[in-house]
Formats: sequence, C-alpha cells, structure tokens
Amino acid sequence: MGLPPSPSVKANEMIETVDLTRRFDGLVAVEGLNLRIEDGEVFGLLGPNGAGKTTTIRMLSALISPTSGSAFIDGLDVSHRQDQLRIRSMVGLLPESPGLYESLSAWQNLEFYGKMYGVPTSERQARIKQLLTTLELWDRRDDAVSGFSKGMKQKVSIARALVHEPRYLFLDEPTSGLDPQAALTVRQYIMELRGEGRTILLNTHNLDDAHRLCDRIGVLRSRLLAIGSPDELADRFFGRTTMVRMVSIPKGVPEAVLKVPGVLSSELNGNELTLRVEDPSVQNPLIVDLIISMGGKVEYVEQGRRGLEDVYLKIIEGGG
Amino acid sequence: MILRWDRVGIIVQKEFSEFRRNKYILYSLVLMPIIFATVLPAIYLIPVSSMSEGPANGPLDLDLNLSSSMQGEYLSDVVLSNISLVDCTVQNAIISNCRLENCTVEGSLVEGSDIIGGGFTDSFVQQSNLDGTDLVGTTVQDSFLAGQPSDTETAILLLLNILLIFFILIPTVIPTVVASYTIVGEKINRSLEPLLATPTTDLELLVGKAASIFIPCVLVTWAVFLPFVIIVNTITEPALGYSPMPDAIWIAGVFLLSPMVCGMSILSNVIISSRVTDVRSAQQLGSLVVLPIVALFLIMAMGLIPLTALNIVFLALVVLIIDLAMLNLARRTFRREEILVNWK
Repeated sequence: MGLPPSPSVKANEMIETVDLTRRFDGLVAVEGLNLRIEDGEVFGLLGPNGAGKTTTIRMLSALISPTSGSAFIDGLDVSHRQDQLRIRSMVGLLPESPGLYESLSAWQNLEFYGKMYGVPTSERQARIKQLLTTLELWDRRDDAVSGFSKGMKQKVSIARALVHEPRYLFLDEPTSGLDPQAALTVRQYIMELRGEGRTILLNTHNLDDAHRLCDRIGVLRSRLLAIGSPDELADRFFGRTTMVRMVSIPKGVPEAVLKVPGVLSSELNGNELTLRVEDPSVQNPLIVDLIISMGGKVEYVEQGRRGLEDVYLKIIEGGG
Repeated sequence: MILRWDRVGIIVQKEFSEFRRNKYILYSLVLMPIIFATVLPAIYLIPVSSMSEGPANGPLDLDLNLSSSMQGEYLSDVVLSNISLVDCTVQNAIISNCRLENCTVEGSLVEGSDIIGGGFTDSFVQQSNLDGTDLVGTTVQDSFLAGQPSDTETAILLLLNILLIFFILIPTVIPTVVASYTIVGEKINRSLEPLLATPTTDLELLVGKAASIFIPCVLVTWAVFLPFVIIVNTITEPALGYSPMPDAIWIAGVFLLSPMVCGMSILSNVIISSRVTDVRSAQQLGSLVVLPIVALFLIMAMGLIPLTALNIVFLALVVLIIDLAMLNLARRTFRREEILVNWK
C-alpha cells in the first residue's frame, strides 16, 4: 500500500475488540463486545437475525465505524482513517449477498477485484485460474455471471474474497440459501482454507457448519452471551453426559446412582441410563461399580455431549 | 482524502465493460446523440431553408444620375430628385433618386436612393439602400439594409439557437440513464459492499463512477458535433450564402457549457441515487435537472438575455460553481457508511 505505519499499530497478528459498540439511531446493534481471535483460528459468530453479526463484520472490515470502543486487526485500528485502507487490503470479505457484476464474466469480476486490491498482473491471473479451477468454475470463466446458479455465484464470491490472498477472511453466511451439494462444496473449501492457516471469522445460522468448521464460537445477541469451543460450551451449559447400556437392570439403579458424588442427574430409557456428571473420569468407574454391585450387567459405557443446537438455544433463551 | 488515479481508471474500465454489455445504455449513448445531431436539424432547418429563393441580396443597383449637390441646407415641403445631399435637414419632402449622406429626414417619402448614415423619423422608404441609418417610426420596404439579416437568415439563426438547447440536452439527459444504472444498479445488485471493502477511498469511487459517465457522454456530444455542423451547413448554405457553423456561441456551448451541464447532471444523479431504490425513480427524478437549463435557454431564445458567446461562457462558469457545490454535497452523500447503512 505504501502507507506509513500509524501510531496505533500493534505487533499482534490477531483480531481484538475492546468494548466494541455500534448504535443506529438509538438502536443498539452491538454492545460492549470484547473478543480476541488468535492468528490461524476459525471463529464462528452465532446469533439470531439482527443480533449484530453483520454489523460486527462490517466494523472489523473497516466499512463502518464503531460508536464507541475499538477493534484491531493485526494491531491496526479500524477507527483510524490511516489504518482503514491497510485493514481492507488484509481482509477478504464474503458479504451476505454475492453482489457480483451480473453482466460481467466470472473472470472479469475477479480481474476487477484483483486490480482493485493491487495484485500484480501475472500473480493475479495465476491466482484467478487457481481459484476458478479449485472451485470447479474454470470451464465457465468467460460466461456472464447472470447465468450462474446461486451456488456458482457464491463460489465466485468466495473466490473474489480470496483473490488478494488475505490473511483474514470474514465470511457472512457462506452456505445460506445453498442446496446441500453446493453447501458441501463451500464447506469443504472453507475446511481447506482453515488448513492454510488463515484467520477466519464465520457468521452463520448453520450450527452444523459452526460445529464442523470453528475452533471457537461466540453467541451474540447485541452482547456476547457466551464464548468457547463447541465442546466447552456444551460442558458449561449441560455438563458432561455418560450413557451406560446394560444387559440387565437391577431395580432402583436410577435413584441409587444419584447418590454418587458428582452425578447431577439420571434418566432411564429402555436399557440406557443417561447421566449428567461433573467429571466422567471420576464418576464413571464409581457408577459402573455401583451397577455391578447391585447385580446389573454393563454392556458398554459411552461418553457424550449435548449438540450445539441445544447449547445455542439454551444460551439464547437464558440470555447467557 | 487519498485519490489514486490508477484505481479511478480501474473503476472506469469496469464500468465501460458493463456498458458494452448493456444494450439500454449503448442505445442511449449512440442513438440519442445521433438523433439530436442529424434528424433534429434536418426537421427544423430544411423547411425554413427551402422557403428562401436564394442567398440574401446585396445592395440594389439604383443607377443614380446626380445632377447637383447640397450641403448643410434646411429643406422643407420640397420635391428632390437626382441630387446629392450631405448633412442636410429635410422635412415633409418627396425624395427620389438621390444620395443622402448624414442627413436628418422627417415626415418624408424616399425612393430609389442611396442613404448613408443620418436618421429618419416618421418617414417611408422604398427600393433604396440604407447603411448605418437610424430609423424611428419609419417603414422600409423592398430595400437593402446593410448589416441587417434577411428574414430567412433571421429564422435560420433563431432555429440554430433553439437547436443549441437540444444539443446541450445530450450531455444532460444521457447521464440520467447511465448514472441510474451504474449507481442504483450497484444497490440493486448489492455489489457495493464488496466494492467498498476494497482498499479504495470514497473519493476514488465517486470520481471513478462520475468519470465513467462523464467521459462517454461528453465525448459522444463532441463526436456528433462534427456531423451536426456538416448537416447544418449543407442545409443552410444555399439559403444564407455562407456556412453559419461553427460560430463562437456554439463552440462555447458545446465545448464549455455542455461538459459543465453534464457534470451537474451526473452529480445530481449521484445525490438522487442515494435517496431512491429503483432505476426508474432515479431516471425520472434525475431528468428534472434539465429543467433549469431549458428555462435559461428559453429566456435567452426569447431575447430577455442576449444569446452571445460571452453569456454562454458566463453561464458555463455559473454551472461550474453549481457543480462544485453539488460535488461537495455528493461527497457527503457518497460516504461508505452512509451508503451501507442508508442505501437499502
């Protein structure tokens, strides 16, 4: 970019927000968001419509300014005018809508953006070829985008976000509205990008995507309600689950296991006893011993967790 | 604010690529100017020119046979014939076949005479040559007035003035079509957000968008001026005896005023586009910008303000000042935050 370094530059390669707040005409879109996304991490932002996910991505992309608080990308301040152009050159953005130039071809769309990001000609053309080939669009490169399916447009849009090899990738609902096949292709490609070590911020309603793709997730409803890896959140909000499958069930087992220290609940369904426990490594052997001592026969013991959907709903309903 | 012309150039190139694939824009850029430059002058000028019998006549050949002369005399209630009168004052006379130089004539009938300078009041002049004579309450018939255009010439020149209005409308109207597509079209396609996410400044985007409209509109206006001049001259030369185009008024109008008006049209469309959501509304509101220009021209064509090259230059300067004020307003409107938050 050739811009001089600004005083706000920090050495850290990460995304950090400090009390980040944005209001629109008195309406609070994002409030006091404190977030730290490490280099190479895939971070998912979950939340209902209007929770402030897109506003957060726009603030981090230096598209709109925070009302208060601050955000740093690679140590550059999103509010600092001098830093904003640098931030935009480091970030690849996939907005909610593909927003392509419909009358232009896939190649022309990517060429335009490659030029806007200042990618040198030979590098740009090689990069576009590689992206279109990877995304299985090379044969359609000269066709007008207006004739593309939604999934194909989304792929071009992803290619556009990557044409300048950004270190930070912000994806707003990347699989929204796609058919299962197209969604799978996009998801697999994001997995590939994850393998390349990019820092990815993923806005999604798709909890399956979030579980598969994200190292950590944050649940947002204007305020950040919860943050952690999917497993950590499941453990935090539901505890850990142990499932004991038995061949024969002695009478009174569900009640008896509740007396084992650290067992929070028990529920019998057929031959399966489902228990919430504090620490499986401590409680599981005690539970098995108890069942055997009562004359029961254990077929197997399995450790489980509640799904992200349960976790998400509990966080949203409980307001964190 | 940073303005990198290479980025402006990339935006302009992209817009041109889109124009090439948009038939509606192509038709607007090509057909409208061609109609304004070829069909309109033909429709207006051919009938008027064809009514004329030929080029405007020169002085009448009076074949005077002057037998005497008078200088500085006061003459009243006389009949004068074949006399050269210099610096005379004549009242209630019948004058024929005379030469009058700097004479003051009142209540007289003059025919078949050469009249140079002087002044006529409440008189009747026929079949004479007049050159630089003041006429008050005097009827002149079948005579040659040096320096005065013929009726045909007057009609043609008046029509040319009106055609200039149409010509100025080319760079005013085309941007309303093109700008509504390039700016509102971005909103409809939702292509603004990824564009705004690139490391480009608001000013680069505004200038790039405006330049991509300004360049073809002004170039096409200038390009069709050449065939327009050829057509106008071809049609009017037989009637006038000379080629009226291009004159200073037209050169000032086409090369100075039209780019300024084009800028005004583009900027008003940028501002309007930030407030409307569909192409048709943008076009309808944008086309209103032609009204003040047309009104000004009508005032000039009606003679309330003389249509001179100097006045055109002055008008261009006024429009330039309006352009600068609108640019300032457009810059405030065309801010990415405003666009993202308000352009829905």
